[in-house]
Amino acid sequence: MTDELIMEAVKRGELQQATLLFERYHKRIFNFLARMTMDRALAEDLTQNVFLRIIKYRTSYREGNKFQSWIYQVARNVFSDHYQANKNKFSDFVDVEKISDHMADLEEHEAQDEKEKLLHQSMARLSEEQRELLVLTRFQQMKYEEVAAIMDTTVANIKVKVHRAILKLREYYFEMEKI
Amino acid sequence: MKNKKIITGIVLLLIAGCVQAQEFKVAKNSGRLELYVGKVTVEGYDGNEIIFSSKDGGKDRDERAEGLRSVNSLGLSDNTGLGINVTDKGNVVEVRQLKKTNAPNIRVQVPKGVIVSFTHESQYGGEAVFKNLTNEIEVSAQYNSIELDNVTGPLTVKTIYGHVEATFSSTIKDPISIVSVYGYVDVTLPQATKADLKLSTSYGEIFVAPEFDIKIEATGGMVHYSDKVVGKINGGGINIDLACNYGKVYLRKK
Amino acid sequence: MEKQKLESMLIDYIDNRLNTVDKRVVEQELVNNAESYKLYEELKEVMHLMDRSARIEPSAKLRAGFDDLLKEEMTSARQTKTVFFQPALYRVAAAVALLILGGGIGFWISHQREERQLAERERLEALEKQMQITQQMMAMLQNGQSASQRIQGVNVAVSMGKADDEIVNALVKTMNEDPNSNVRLAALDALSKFSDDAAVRKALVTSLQKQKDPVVQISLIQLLVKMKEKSVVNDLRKIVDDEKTMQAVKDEAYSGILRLS
Repeated sequence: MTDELIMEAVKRGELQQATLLFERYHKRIFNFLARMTMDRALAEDLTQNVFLRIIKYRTSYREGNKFQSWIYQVARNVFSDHYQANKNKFSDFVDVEKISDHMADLEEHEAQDEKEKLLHQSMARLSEEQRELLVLTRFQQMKYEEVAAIMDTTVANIKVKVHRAILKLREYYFEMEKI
Repeated sequence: MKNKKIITGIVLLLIAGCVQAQEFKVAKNSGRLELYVGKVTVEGYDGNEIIFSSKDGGKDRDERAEGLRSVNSLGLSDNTGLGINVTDKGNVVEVRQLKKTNAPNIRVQVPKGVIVSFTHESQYGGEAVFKNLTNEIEVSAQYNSIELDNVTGPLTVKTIYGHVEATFSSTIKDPISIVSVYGYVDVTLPQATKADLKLSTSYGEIFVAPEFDIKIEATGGMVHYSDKVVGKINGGGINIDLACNYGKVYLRKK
Repeated sequence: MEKQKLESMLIDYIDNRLNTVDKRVVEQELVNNAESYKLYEELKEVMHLMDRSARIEPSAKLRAGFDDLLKEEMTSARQTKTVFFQPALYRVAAAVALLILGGGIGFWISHQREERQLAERERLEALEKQMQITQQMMAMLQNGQSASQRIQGVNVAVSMGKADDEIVNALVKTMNEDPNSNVRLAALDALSKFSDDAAVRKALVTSLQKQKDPVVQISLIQLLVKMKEKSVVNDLRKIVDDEKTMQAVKDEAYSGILRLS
């Protein structure tokens, strides 16, 4: 059964079906948010919020739309809402502390590879938009078409931006390698 | 002397009887009453029927037409004996006059829950009067002048050549929107009315009773056109929108 | 080769997205130019690192949390729209969970998480309220029985301050299609507040040909003139030349032409 058919069932009120969507998507959404926030615990909370919104606002799912695009759009909203809300709450100083802390947290769970560590530190220096593009196209190996659908823009535009992001990442990565 | 009194009494009775005979009723206390007539007086009352009657007391009765039925080019027939056709369409009661150029003088009494709508485009018509109504009123006219007396709103009134006079009772219901192109708009409000006012005229003037202290709002980012006053009285509340193009706007206190 | 083009081609080359001709070009460049070759090596390293980066596994808490929220949603869906969390109970449960799970740091983190959840709940409630208002507004705008209700719908739209596409579209539809002039006028007035927006501007321009009621025509012409919208001069000419146009509208259109040209 396609994601879309399942979502339509959820929309009709068969909430139990949402479990299937959770099975199919929770790891991808969690990975997306973990790479974006660099904070596992936060990513888990936000992933949960994504599914909460999907269920709560099931009626706003438009039939015929691709479910994958929709859930990623919801995830992006959840992420930016969180970011917006917290921008006012914490001073920049606390924020920096937090990020480096949680990055360590994230790295612990991965191979203790020096290169991988360097990669994450370079990722952290990218703009949010560039990080997002790389997470989707490289880490999650989505096609440019799929990303364009999520971000509601053209494939050509996505391609240009992804290329720029890769180049920027390379710059940061080898800059830090020298240190 | 005595005879005279009796005769007067009989005449009065006869007139009353005549008027009585010329009533037409539709049982309805919700939905819409749509009036497509040139002239009308609508009054609110406590009841469950829409009651139509003639204000002329039937004095222009055509004896020659006795036993015949008046019909017109729209295929409508006078099913009321008042020169109008009344059709009950369930949620909507439609009222049309039979004669094109000569509007009968009709009085309509309406129960509280009925929305009253008046639409008239032709230049053959007269005043439309609305009295003692707590009902919602919609008016769309070209030439008619509109008089509203002791009404509460909600109200949407548009006329092109006619003017509009309105006196509101102490409770007013959102929204009030009155527009005339050539006529004036003259509105009387209780002094304590809490409202968000929008008064505008393109080529006329705006007059406001000194008792109303209008707190003009900052109009940041808004496109301003013509002469327009936007502000609150008594702290703001219901939306009142009065507009003219060539006529003047008057706002009086009760 | 231009630097930007080369960089882009190198990335496509690594991803194996080039046609044979371009591939040859890149390979030639790599043989001839040591600097390009270095760039290629570096790009390949970061790209492959990203591609091979391990998946992060969520903890079991995520699934448990989902099961709980689904259960809650299913009961609240059955109870026909009551409050979906019971805040006090929820907080007690969270506190108990804290005590069981947490040591010192655990406490701090959980406290933060709880705050986050609270904030998220507030956001959800605000979002829900906004959606309710939007829905209510739409329902009001579509009320065929009462013009006043539709005007109130327009007023609600204005009170929301910023207009998203859904609201703007609804207002444009009302401005162009509502049977009542006062309602169309109110929608026009509401849209005039967003006339800086390109889409709104366009909608206002195209509406000019659609409006037949003098009251709305006059207001719309005045607004377009105020916006210095020169593109409507031809439409205004048409209005002036149209025999059926009312004199007041003609006058307004004529003065508009004079002021715009």
